[in-house]
This record gives sequence, C-alpha cells and structure tokens, in this order.
Amino acid sequence: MSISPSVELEGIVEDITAILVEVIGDEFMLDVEVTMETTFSHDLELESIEFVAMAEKLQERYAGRVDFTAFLAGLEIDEILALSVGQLAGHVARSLRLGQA
Amino acid sequence: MARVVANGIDFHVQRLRRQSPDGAPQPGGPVVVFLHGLVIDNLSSLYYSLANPVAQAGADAILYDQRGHGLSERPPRGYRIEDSVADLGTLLDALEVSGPVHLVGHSYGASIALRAALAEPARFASVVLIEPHCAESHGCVDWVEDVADMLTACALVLEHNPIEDNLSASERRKRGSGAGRLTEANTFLNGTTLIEDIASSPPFTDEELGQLGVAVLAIYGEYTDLASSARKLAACVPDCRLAVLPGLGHSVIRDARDVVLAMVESWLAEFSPAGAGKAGV
Repeated sequence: MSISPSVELEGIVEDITAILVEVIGDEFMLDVEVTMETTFSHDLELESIEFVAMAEKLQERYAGRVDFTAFLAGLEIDEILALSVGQLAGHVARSLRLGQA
Repeated sequence: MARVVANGIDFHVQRLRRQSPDGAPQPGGPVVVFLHGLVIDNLSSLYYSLANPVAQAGADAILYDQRGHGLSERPPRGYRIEDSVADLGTLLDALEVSGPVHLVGHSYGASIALRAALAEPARFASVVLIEPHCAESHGCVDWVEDVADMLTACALVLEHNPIEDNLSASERRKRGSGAGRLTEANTFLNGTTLIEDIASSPPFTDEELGQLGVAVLAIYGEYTDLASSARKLAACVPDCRLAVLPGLGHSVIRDARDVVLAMVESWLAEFSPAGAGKAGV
C-alpha cells in the first residue's frame, strides 16, 4: 500500500516540527503554525547553529536514507538561509522515494 | 557524534562525509578540520559555506564550536590561544584521528590553526588560513593587542546598551534581527575572561614563522585591514602561497564563497595521491 504524496509530506512536516520543538523549545513553537511555506530564517528566526542541530536530528531520524550533505552542498548560502519547511520536506520525500525505488 | 568531551570541555562537533548508496558514510578521503572565528561566529558559517561541499567532494570534514561558542560549553575562563590549540589536539585524539589532517581556519580560527601548526607540525598535512590575524595593525604593537582592543570596544558598547537581559529566549527570538546573538555576545565578552586571555596570548614572531614546516595557503581580501598579516606570512613562512582576492575585504567567504571553495578544493587536491606538486607531504 503506497502513501499519497500529500500525506507523506504532512508526515515529514510533522517530523520537522517535532524536531524544531526539540531544538528551539515549545514556548516559541506554541505560537507558530508550521506550514510548507514557513521559512526557517525569517518566520522561525532560527539561528544558523540551530539549523545545523536540526539537520543532524533529521539525519538521525531518517537514518542514512536522506543525504543532507549532498543537499546542502548544492545550495548557495543565501538559498540555505531562505529555505522553507516545504523545500526541506520535499527533499526528504524525494530521498525516501529514491530509496524505495 | 554531536557531543565530544575533550580537554575538560563539552564540545558540539559535526562530522560530514559523502554518503554511500547504502546510506553509510564513505570511508577514506583526507581529514579536513574547520576552525571558525570569534564571539558571534560558530561552526555554522563554515558548515554552510565550505564544509558540506568539501565533504561531498570526498573529504572527512570535521567542524566544532570553539569553547564558549555556538553549542559548546562556555567555561568562565581559559581562552588563551594555547587553550584552543590544546582543544584541537585533544578533540582529534578523542575522535581517533591519527593521520595528518588539513586545517581550514577563518579569522581567529585561522590564527588558532597557525599556532597549532607551529606547535605540532607533524600532525598537520597543510593549513588553509583565511584572513588570519598574525601581525600588528591599527597602530598596535602586535595582533594580540589589536584583537583585544577590538573586543574591548565591542564589550563596552554591549555593556552600555543592554539588550534586555530579562527577556526570555522565546521573547528574544520574537524580536528577531539578531537580538539573541547580541545577548550572547554581551554574555561572552563581559562574563568570561575571553578578552584578557587573548590579550595574554603570545605574538607570532618572524623567527617561529620562518621555521614552520607545514604548507600554508593564505587567503586575504584586497581591502582587508589585515594586509600587514598577509605580508608577514608571505615573507616569513617558507612554504606559503598567498592569494589576494580583488575587490574584497575581510569577509571573503561571505562575499566570494565559490572562489574560496574552489581554492580550498584545488589546494586539497594537490595533496591527494593523484595530485601534482605536494603529494606525499
């Protein structure tokens, strides 16, 4: 049984949100609705070192099925700073689908 | 791998390697350790700019937040450059890195890399120094006085323009615009012995630079305030390649990441078994 792309993305956004709560605390996250359009830098005011911590936790969550080094190596600094939750979730989803192929 | 205790400090460490098709980190490749700059800097600046691409090209890239910075422990004292050099050595031991490693340092991190290479040359295959401070400027006696003066000025400004210390972390985040970073800088500069410890660090003498047995790539911007440091390295270090990037100041990584990255990757390739010129160094 396959999972529809939208359900799959929703699950990944839930994972990202849970990790954000771990990294920056639930006090701030309670006031924020995380959507596909939410940006890490502007909307969440995520410090760059917090993004690194989040990426590591995501890497652990997906245990080698998502290659963040390759993903980040292909982006300019400004592109990383402007990343949205949806863009990151999309990369995770593509990686997971490739792993199943 | 995120937390490593070394030299009595709990460090935040990131180790990046190209991923095999089965998801495991690919072994092999040169070990490259990245050293970031002072106070408001942390490993993320080099993680974003250089380390991920260098790892993707095949290196075993290691980054850590220097003591007091980023997500590493912040002791109240112990910020002499020798302390940072000891941190590097004990971290490499803790990570069981035995072969010669390449160091890539930016700003004060490059000064640490230079001091480490002078202290223990056999441990390092090469050092890439991006805008290091190693000579006098601004009328100061040496680089130590220069950096200490600069930090003291920042500390005074922050102390007399308090950033509402009573705000919660969440409220600071909502304010945005780097309020959290300024609070961090104020706590660091005015709450530790960082400035006096750096002020008591030794200068780099021409004599010791003249005996450096490690290959150096030094990268500066054309309009840097550290031109005297660039000249000193080029004049004193026996195996030093100086690259001056036209039209740029101190922030060469931010303003010309791709150029700096190409230089670092090309430099590392010279030390690979297939590389020309410096193979086997």
